[in-house]
Amino acid sequence: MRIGKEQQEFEILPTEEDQQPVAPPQPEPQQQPEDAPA
Amino acid sequence: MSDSDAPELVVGAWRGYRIWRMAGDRLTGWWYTGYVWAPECSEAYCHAKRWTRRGRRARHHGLPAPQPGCRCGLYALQEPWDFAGYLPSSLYGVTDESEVVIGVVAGWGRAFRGRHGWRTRYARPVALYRAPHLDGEQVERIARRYGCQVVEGRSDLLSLADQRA
Repeated sequence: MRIGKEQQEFEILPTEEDQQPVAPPQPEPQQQPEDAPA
Repeated sequence: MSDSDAPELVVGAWRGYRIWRMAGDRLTGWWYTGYVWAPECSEAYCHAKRWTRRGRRARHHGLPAPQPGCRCGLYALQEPWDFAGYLPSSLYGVTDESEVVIGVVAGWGRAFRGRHGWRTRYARPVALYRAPHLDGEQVERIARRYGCQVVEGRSDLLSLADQRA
C-alpha cells in the first residue's frame, strides 16, 4: 500500500472506546463429534 | 530531540480503509501474507535489513515500528475508492482480488501520515465489507473472531470510517 513519500510523524493516543471491540467477539459454538449421539 | 522534531500529539485512533486477505477465519496482510492480524490489537514490527561489514543486520534494531524512511507499519488509506471495481493498482500494486476483503481499520500509537494514508504501530479491524462475490459465512466467521462489524453496503463502510477520520 503506497501512502506517499512525504510523511509526517504523529503519536496517537487511543481512547478507551478505540480499544474496545466494535462488536464483542462471540464464543465459537461447541463442535460435536460427528459420531456422537444426538 | 528538540520540540520541533517531536511528533504531533493526537487523541483518538485514526480510521481508514484497507484490504486484507482472508485465510480461513483469519486476516492476513495484503503483501505480507505471513503476517496474521491478531483478534484484538495487532502490533507492527520492522523486519527491514541492511548490509553491514558483519553481514545483514536489522535496519532498526530495538526501535518501534513504524520508522521514518521505511515501509514498516500497519497501513490504511484515508480516501475510499470505488469498492465495486478493481482495487486501485496505483496504490496496491496488483489487482488480484481473490480472497480479498475490504474494511475499515483503526490505528494508533506511533504513526506516519502521507498524502494517501497512514501507517501506525497498533491497529485493529473495525468493519468488513461483505461484497456479493465473497463467501458471506467466511466473512461472518472472521468478523466474530476479530470483534468487528460486517457491513453490506459502501455507505455503511464510509460512515464507519468517517466516525474518526
